[in-house]
Amino acid sequence: MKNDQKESKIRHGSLGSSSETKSDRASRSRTANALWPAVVLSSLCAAMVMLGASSGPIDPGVRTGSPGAGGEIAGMTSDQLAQFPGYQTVFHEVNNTVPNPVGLGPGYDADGCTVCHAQPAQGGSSPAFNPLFKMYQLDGAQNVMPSFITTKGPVVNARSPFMSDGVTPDGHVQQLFVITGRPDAAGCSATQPDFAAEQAANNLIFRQTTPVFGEGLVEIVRNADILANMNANLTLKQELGISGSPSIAADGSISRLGWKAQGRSLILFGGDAYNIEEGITNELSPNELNQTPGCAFNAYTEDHSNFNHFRAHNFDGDPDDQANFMRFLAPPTPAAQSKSEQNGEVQFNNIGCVLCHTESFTTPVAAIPALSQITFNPYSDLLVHHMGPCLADNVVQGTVMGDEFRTPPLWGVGQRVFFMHDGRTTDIVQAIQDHSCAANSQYPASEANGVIGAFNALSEQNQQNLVNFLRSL
Amino acid sequence: MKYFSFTRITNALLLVSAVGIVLQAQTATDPGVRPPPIDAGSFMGNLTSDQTAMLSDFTAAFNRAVVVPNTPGTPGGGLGPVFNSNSCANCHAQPATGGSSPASNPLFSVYQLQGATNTMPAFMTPTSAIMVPRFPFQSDLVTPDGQVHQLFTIAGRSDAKGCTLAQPNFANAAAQNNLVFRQPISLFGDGMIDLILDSDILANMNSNQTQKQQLGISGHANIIMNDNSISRFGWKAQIKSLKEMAALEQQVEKGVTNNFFPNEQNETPKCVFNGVPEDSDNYPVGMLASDSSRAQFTGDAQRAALFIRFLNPPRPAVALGKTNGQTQFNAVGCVLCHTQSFVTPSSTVLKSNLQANLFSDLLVHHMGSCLADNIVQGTAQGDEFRTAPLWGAGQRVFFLHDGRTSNIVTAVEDHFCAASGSYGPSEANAVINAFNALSKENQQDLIGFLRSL
Repeated sequence: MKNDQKESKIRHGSLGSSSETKSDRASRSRTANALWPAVVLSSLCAAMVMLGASSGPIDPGVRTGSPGAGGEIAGMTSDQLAQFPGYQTVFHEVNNTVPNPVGLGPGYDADGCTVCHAQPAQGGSSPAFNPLFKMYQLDGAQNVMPSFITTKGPVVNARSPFMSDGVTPDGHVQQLFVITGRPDAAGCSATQPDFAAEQAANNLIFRQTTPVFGEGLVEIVRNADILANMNANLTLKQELGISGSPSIAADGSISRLGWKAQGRSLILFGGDAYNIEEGITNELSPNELNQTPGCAFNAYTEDHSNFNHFRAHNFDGDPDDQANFMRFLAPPTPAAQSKSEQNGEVQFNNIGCVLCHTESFTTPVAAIPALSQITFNPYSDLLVHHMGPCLADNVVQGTVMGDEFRTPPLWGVGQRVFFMHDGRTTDIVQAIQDHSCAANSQYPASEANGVIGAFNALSEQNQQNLVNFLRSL
Repeated sequence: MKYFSFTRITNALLLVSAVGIVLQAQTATDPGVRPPPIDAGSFMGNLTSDQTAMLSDFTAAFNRAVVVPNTPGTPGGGLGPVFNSNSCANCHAQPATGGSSPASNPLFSVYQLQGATNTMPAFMTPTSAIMVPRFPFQSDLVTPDGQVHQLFTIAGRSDAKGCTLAQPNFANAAAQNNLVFRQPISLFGDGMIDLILDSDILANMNSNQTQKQQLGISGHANIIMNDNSISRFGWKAQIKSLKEMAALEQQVEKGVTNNFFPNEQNETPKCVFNGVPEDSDNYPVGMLASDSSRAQFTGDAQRAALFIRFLNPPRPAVALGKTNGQTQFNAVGCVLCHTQSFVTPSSTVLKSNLQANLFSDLLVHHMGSCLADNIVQGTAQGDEFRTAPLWGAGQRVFFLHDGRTSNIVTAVEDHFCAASGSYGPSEANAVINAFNALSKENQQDLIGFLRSL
């Protein structure tokens, strides 16, 4: 939150830092390819084992070239374009605990939105080099880095599905860091959560940063269109074991943002995220998550309506600006498709990926011309699906159960580094396989099992084409 | 003669026992809605000059009666396709704008406005509370629903040509015992409630534990899981912030889509006349740096939220802490849930450290099957309700979540409920027993205290 009449700093240099992983991936692929003939020749038995382990498609890695993301959507009016830099400034804003702009902490994950929403451009997802290493001891903070955060791992936030009794549902975000030790937080002695103990109790789950490109289109898709798509191809879906259901918001409409589709709209999502990730209380999330006495340095709410700001768009406080920034961010641009990628899309459709990863929706008539009646390609049905015990995070959110997740939109997936809700893999082939999971006593089997079975039954070339198609998005 | 005298004796006995029943049921008498002066509906003092300059904009948003057609950038459109009323102020009217359901049901002036062909549902009368209907379950009567099913549609309105849309079948829902109601809640002082710290709510929850346990009182916060905050607005404390409440109600009650809830409740094609959201940031209005235009950049939802934020709490007619009625209120244990006051923290927009005499712990409590509406919202179960803040109760017309009574004595007694198959007993039972054990004079004083709020 920035005080009135003050310009904010803009974080530079945290974007587009994906080159390290690209080269890593390229060399790993090359290594695998170079070793292949030797493995085949070594012995029949060993070759059989290696065929089982390493035959099949290879992830070509994060797509290089122009990001094709991070810019504003086409068709904005001159008035909207005039405001866009202001929105962007707020999304970039680096917040302190006390010096202007104020509000960081007492608990936090990062000090600005673009710290984590960085790959391959502002508004995106977790970058290859973990930016939390620039956060945890920022400005004198004395945090230790939790063991689950690694330099080449994804940005994740942490949740304990259950309270300390192991039974009562919890699931709220446990902020990674505290402001203790910062000169602008003198006297605060808040401590980080005991993540090691939570992990030992098998009570800690993670969620990585979701990209926000194109979500101005997603948030206004008609409920009726989402439901019509849900009810399409029912015979085929039933044969494959696919169901899916909407996450229901407070007004009865379909909630559709976030890993569990728990966010109804950009502004509601943004208000929560501002407090959860940065610790900045605001008119949509007015209380600090971390209420350690002696650590609240600012009046409530830290971000608020600005009655004397010189720019009208700042009137409503930062979540409104952040929502407008996201609202006007263009969807990611897919790469031009090669023959392989074109065939991959055919395979993607044939085996049934598309039954959940719905290619396109069209927005209704919208007040903002740039968002009105736009057909866009999120590759998601915006529904939640049972994914089985292997992915389940045991967190219930609204009408969404512990093993249910929103079909993640695949637009831009070609330039993502980490996959699945907890960023458990950087290998998109592994991400596909991770959709498959047998039932256990607690949860039914993954709805994707039929489709993943069909993927594994494809020829290796067709599998590779499908993977290449994904990396073209 | 003998027969006659026997009849006379019988009649006399009947009369005595009838008086006894009356005495037992009507322990105290509700003096009724406290007459003017009305000390509610004003704005807080100590506002900045910028805030003061914008109050007329905020008030206009709260009062604005919307029609169907909408021009982006110009507030005033977006009604329907389904709705309960056409403005905030229409229902939040008693005893002043921002309040609760007025004595004369204002929906009778709305339901057939501009040619709308609605019929008035049977449960609503000219002298009843405004009753917003919800269906606890979907049509299978098993799957939870719980959403508002709006009373009216825009079909027939001159500004909604071509729309044919039937009202929900409330008679059928009632026949299936699948129809519950909630009345409008007074908004005075909500700006202060918005700021009360979670930690203060929890500290109050954990105070007087021994006494609460003896009386069977528990209560818990309705927790919004994502940010772990205590939700505190609405009959089930289901809404976390004043701002979200304003946006939610704009969409649910009027059908005006906004940035928070961008899609129509009902998307019947020929009944959707406007782009979504209907209420949004207004380009280019408000782009200039002049004082008054700044507030016009934002939509009506946010402006209505600011109207509410700056509303004064209702002021009691008699100073608190001075009456025998309040002494009885405290002694029988009403105050264990109807917590007299919280103090707001230091604040950026309102004055800091305000004492809010809201008479609520902002927690939800099991109230038994007699009040249960079978709707689960957040961590509030089907028989749980937020302790209704009592500030301003003296000038309210209707009581309890569904406005079932206008008699505040009945409202007190309705807190009592024995356990049933579905739900445990009301947490208020012991307190209501203690109320009934009071002398009639003390009961009357307690009622008088409530009507002084």
